[in-house]
Amino acid sequence: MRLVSREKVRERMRIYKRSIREFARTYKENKMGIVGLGILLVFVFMAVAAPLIAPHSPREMWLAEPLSPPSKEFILGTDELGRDIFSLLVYGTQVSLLVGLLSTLLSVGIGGLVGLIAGYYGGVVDSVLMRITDLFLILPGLPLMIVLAAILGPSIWNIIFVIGIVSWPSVARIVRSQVLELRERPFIEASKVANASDLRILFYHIAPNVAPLVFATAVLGIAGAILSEAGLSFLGLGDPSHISWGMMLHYAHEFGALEIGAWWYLVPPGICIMLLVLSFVFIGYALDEILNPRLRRR
Amino acid sequence: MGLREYAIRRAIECVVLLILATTLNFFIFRLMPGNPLAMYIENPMFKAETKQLLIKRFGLDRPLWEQFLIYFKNMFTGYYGISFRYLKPVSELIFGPRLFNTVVLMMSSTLLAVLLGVIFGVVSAWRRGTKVDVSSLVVGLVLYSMPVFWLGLLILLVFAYYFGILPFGGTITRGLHHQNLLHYIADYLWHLLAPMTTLTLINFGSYLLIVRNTMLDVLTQDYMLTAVAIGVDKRTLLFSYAMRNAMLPLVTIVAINLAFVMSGAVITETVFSWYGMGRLIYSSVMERDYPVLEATFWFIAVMVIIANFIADIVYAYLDPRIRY
Amino acid sequence: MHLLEVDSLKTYYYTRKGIVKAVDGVNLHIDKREIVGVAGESGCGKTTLAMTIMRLLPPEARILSGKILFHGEDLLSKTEEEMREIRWGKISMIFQHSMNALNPVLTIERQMIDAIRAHDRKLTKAEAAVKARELFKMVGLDPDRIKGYQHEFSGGMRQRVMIAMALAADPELLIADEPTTGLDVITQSQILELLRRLKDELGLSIMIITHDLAVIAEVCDRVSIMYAGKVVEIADVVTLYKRPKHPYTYLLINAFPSIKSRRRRLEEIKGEPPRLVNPPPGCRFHPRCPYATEECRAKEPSLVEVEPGHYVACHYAHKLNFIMER
Repeated sequence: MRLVSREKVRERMRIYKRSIREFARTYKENKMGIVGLGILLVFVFMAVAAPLIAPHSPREMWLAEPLSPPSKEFILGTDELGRDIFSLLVYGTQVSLLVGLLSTLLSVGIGGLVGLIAGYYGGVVDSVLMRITDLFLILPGLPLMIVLAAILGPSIWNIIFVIGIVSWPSVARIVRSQVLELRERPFIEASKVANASDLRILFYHIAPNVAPLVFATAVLGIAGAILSEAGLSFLGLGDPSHISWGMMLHYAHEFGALEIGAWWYLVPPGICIMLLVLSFVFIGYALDEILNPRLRRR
Repeated sequence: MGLREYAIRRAIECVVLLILATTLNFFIFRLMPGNPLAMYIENPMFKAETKQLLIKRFGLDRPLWEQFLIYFKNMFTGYYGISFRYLKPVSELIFGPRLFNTVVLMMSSTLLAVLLGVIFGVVSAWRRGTKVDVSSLVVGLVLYSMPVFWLGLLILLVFAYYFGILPFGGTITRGLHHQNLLHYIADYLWHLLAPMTTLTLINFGSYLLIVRNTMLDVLTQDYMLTAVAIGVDKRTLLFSYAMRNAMLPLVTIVAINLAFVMSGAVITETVFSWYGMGRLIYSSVMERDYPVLEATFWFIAVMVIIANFIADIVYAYLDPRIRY
Repeated sequence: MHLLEVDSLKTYYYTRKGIVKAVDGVNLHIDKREIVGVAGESGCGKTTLAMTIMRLLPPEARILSGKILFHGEDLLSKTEEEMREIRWGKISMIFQHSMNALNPVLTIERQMIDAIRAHDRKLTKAEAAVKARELFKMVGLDPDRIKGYQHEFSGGMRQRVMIAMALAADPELLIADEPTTGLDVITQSQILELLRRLKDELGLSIMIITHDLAVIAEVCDRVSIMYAGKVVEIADVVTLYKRPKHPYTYLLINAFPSIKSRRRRLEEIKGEPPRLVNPPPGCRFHPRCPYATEECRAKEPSLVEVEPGHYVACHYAHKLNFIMER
């Protein structure tokens, strides 16, 4: 018995390995995907190696005159508190990536669970859950986030929570429609006949099949989450102890960077947000093209 | 099922959503520690009796369910409470120039964005894979990835700071005495230009991508192949056979996007100090003016839900396929 | 001179996964007032053949060589402008999945009028509308329903609408790609009956592409059997059913239950269906052929005439005599 099951495991691993290799091959041919991945890797490196790259600490104030233009020592100049903008920028990567990943994890968790349950059980459970999903889908996202963030107070965890709790409905919808399709498949029927528990069917048989499509959606979700974080921070709802790019622009706006034409303060954070978001959008598009069979043409 | 039954069913769903949204709105503002008045009355200037009086006055001494019922009645009868900051009824703050200004900004930018999005999206899909298509796609994705406020800041940096041809913000020039209505309108439009362009560009990106996608979908349908084989001339092919199919979903999409546009509007109004609902939300957040926040959020939600309902009905009316 | 003659035609698709040799040296012809069937399993290149004749191939497809002579003129040397006139004007087509072949947001009348006027610009809209109603009557539809939309018609009626559309410009040749697939048996035979009636009344030539040999038996005069991008046997319908010479044809006929015989014999053809990316060398059918020899694996058989009008591409055509139970 053991031998057989080990053989089975090996067989499964082989299939996984082959499909991953196949996936990598297709991905490599996708120009958008490669560019996106390239940009993302640069940012990940920036976030991980921030202490090595940044010449100053983001907390160090009065290094130079406030809002002084780029110089040899401060390649992107200083902010209104005389901090090194380049260093702030480098450390800001950590905040954006952290918020983007964690809040998406949260929204995929909630959305995935709601979608699985609604799709699998159907009936009243489904209608109730879908009405709630519809509500969150239809409500204007940012105003809702603003209200929640204002009530919960400025902390990075609250920001993550607020973005996650507002952006799960699209995941729920996608997962639900996938589950509805899968539910009718023979292997699910077979497991039911074999008396497998609902939990086992849901997480062992259905969830892995839903995962690829959720993955592509999640990557696009990260892009949205980063933009939301930037928006909230720009409106002054960010966590002052973790300075993000959005918050830099908030301060720049508040302290009149515009009126003195401090482009070195206004332009770089926006470019960073845009590039990071773009990298996820590119990757998401590439994944969608590869994983979503509807888009493949004959 | 006929259109009428469909409309009734959608209307019921719409009412359910309205009730859900109103309920959600109530509980969000009870999430915070203490009572909603805390920010306002925890002030050394108030005596203890005054505090008690205010709590009673605002009905916060009653049980939660009673508060909820009162709130519910108030929301649907147009009584939104008193602003902490302005000490005026919230309805006075919302209904007036603020609402007008926001509507102007959103309408103008949505119209322009849809128009541009349709033109570029259709051309892009029609000439799939060409330089026009690839560059539109990249422009669309870049605009989609750009934070609204940053685009606004860039526009200000270039046109207000460097060229000095646009104002830094506001709705009209403060302190300027307008000679006549025309002068006033010109001044208003001059101020509108930058925020409108910002919002238009951001929304243009997403409309372009959406239209391109639906168009590509339509172009690969079997009925398009039939029409090509028949030899229907290019103009008819594009405008009657393809676009009519591709434009239908746009009715719904514009309504769904309204929530997204509203999000952009809040930020855009803040960047350009545009005197509208979005900035009201922003300043209420800054001042912790909860009654205003509660009412504006509710109002926006209601507007979006109703707009979606209308769009669904219009779509059903326009689409000959009756597939409810 | 034949109405249409396809001569050693090759159409390949250049895809990421390799070159798909969908049509690889096909010969066949159609005469006036004749219904010719092209039969084979799905993916054998039947549809590609039709799309090549119509010159409606996707960009990744390329016509490598061969001729498509229509009234003796090579369609492959026509410009796109000339082709636009011939397409639908002389040769029209009913596409596969014709359930979705009609535009959902335009009335049937509008689409009929567009089709009629695309090839006869002198007609006014009103005149075209009159003709559209006549065509509706001709295919057995109620002309009063012409102002309806596609979704208001049943599957069989949509197929009739498609046939009416295909007749809009009075073509000489009609290509029908799986015209009965997805329809119930009664509707199927009604549609086939209609096609035969149109042949008689209008002097139309029809090419029917199908995977269903029952369709062939019901309406066709002659048949071409395709396998993996090649024609393996051509014969008139009676000969084909009585004296098939190619093992594939024999197995194919036996794979379908005869309507007449009581005993339903379903003999599966063993092995995988043909691959078009890397077709096997020699005779393409050899991996599945029970009679395959070394010669079959090495050398490709050519299409030879074994009796008047009966062509077979098999090395052992003269030796194999299948006994058909009938």
